[in-house]
Amino acid sequence: MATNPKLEFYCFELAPKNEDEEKTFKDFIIDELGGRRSHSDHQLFIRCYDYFVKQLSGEHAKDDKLKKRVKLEKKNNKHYSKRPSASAENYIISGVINGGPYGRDGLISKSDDDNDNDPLKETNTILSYFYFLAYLPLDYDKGFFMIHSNSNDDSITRVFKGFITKIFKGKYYNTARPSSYCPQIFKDDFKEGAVLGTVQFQNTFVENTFSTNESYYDFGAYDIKIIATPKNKSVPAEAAPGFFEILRKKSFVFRDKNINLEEFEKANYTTKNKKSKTERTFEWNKSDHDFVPVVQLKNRINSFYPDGTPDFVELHQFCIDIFHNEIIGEIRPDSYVAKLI
Amino acid sequence: MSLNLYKYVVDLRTQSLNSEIGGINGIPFKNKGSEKEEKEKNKRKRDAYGYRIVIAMISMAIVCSLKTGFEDVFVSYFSSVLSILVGLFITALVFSFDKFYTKADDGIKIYNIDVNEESVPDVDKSYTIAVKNNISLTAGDKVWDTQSHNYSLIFAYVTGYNIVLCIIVIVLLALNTLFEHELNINIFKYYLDIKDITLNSLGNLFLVVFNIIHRFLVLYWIGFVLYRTIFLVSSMVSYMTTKIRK
Repeated sequence: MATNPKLEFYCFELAPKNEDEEKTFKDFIIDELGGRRSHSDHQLFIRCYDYFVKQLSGEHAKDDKLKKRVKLEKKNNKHYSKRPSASAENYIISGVINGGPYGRDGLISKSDDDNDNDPLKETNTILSYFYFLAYLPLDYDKGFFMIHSNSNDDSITRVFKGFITKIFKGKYYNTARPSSYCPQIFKDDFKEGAVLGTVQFQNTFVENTFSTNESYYDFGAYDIKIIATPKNKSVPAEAAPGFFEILRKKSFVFRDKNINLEEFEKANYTTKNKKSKTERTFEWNKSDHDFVPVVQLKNRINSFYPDGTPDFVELHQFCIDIFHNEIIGEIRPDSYVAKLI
Repeated sequence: MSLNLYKYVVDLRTQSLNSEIGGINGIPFKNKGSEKEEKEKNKRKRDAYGYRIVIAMISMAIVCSLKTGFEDVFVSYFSSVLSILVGLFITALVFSFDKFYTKADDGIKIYNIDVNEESVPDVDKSYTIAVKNNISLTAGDKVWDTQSHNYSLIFAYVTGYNIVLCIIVIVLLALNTLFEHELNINIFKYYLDIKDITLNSLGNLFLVVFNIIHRFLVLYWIGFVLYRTIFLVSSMVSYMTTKIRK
C-alpha cells in the first residue's frame, strides 16, 4: 500500500564544458543530438523527446549504488497509455514511468495460493508507477522537473534526478547540475511570520525478547517517535535546521546500543503560520542533507488507485496547473519583466 | 489649446510617472488587476512619491527660512544652469532616439535577386525570396530586450518631462525679474486681520499666497529636476556599460 504520496521538485542547469558559453537546451540538441539550426523548435523538441524516451532503457536509467532503475515497460503496464508524451509548445515532457529497486534475492509469495511463489532474482526489478513532469526550455539553460513518490522506500526521485542530469552530458557538456527547488507558494510560510512547531524523529523497532507477559507480544513492532518542541513559541521557522543540528547527535538507547536521532528512518519538522493559519511539514532529505517542503498529495488530489497511488490523470492536471500558475514564473528570468506600454 | 499643448504636457507627465513606477522590469503580472499586482504597484508608487515628499519638505523649509524672495544672483545662476540643462536634455533626447533600443528582428525579410546564367549572359532572371531570421531569442535575450525597451521609454519620458519643468522654472524665475518688487516681499511682515478686510488687504493676501507658491514651486522643481538628472546620468552609464559587456 502506497502511503503519503507526495511531489518533489528539482531544477537542473546545463553545464557546457566551455564555461564561458551560455548554452540552452536548443544548443544541446544541436550540438549533441544532431539537430539543425534550420529546424523548427517543434522539430528540435521532438528530437529531444525521442532521445529522452530512448535513454529510459539506456545505461543512465540505472544506478548501481542505489540499486534502483527507471524504465518504461510496455508489457503488463496498465498505465502505458499515460507514458511520457511531449508538449513541444510548452517544452514539457510528462507522463508515467516505471521504476524501483533491483538486486534483491527473494521470493514473491502469492496471496491467493499459500503453497505457490515465484523467485525474485537479483536481476529482477520491482517496478512501481511514478508520474513526472520535466520542463526542458529550448531558449534557456535551466530545466526543471517534479516527480511523485509514494513514501521514502517507494521512491525513484534520486535515481530519476541522476538520470535526467546524466542524459544531458555529452561531447561538449558535463553532467547537468541539479539543485533543490521549492515553489514560492510552499515557501510563503517561511517568510511571513511562520514559527517553528515541532521537530520529530521516527523509527520502527522490532522487539525480539521473549516475555511471559502475553500482552507483550501485541507490541511486536512499534514506532518510536521523539518530538522536540521549543518552549519558546516564537522561534522563526528559518531556525529549524539549526535546531535539527543540535538534536541529530542525541541518541536513543535500544538494546544497549546508542542510535543517533539522525539515523532514524524519518525526520521532519512542522511550521505554523498564525496569519494564514496553516501548518507545513518539511522532511529531512538524507541524500541532499536538506529539509525539503513536503507537498502532500493527500489533500490536493481527490482520487487514488486502490494501492494508494494518486490518480495519474488528476495528478497530471494538478501538476500542469501548478507549473503554469506558479513554477514557470519563478524559474524563468523573462517572466520577471514586462514591456511598458 | 492650440497645438494640443495641454494634452501633450499632461500625457508626458502621466507617462513619466508611470514609467518611473514600472521601472526597467515593468510590471510583470499575468493577471491584470490581481491583488498581487495592485500590492506591487502600490509599493512602487510609495517609492516614487517618497522622494517627491522629501524634496517638497526641504523646499517648504527653505521657503519658511527665506525673508525676502530670490536674490538676483540666485535667479541668474539657476536660469543659466537650467538653460544649459535644457540644451543638454534636448541633445540627449534626440541622440538617444535609436541608440538605446533596437527591436530584436525575428521577422521575415523579402529580397529581390537577379541571377545571370553563364550560358545566356544577357538574360536576367529575377527571383523574390523570403528569408526568415532564424536566430531565436533566449530567455536572457528576452530579458535584455524588455529591459532595453523599458529603459528607452523611461529615459525619453523622464528627460522630456525634465525639459518641460526646466522651461517652466525659467519662466517662473523670469517673473522674479519682471516683478522684482512684488515677488521679493517679506511675507512674515504681513498678518491677517479678519476685522478689517479691505480690497487692498485682499490684494496683499493674494500676493503673499502667490509668493509662497511661487517660491515653493521654483525650489521644488529645481530639486526635482536635479534629482532626476542624477538618475538619468547614472542609469545611462550603467545601461551603456552593461551593453558593452554583453
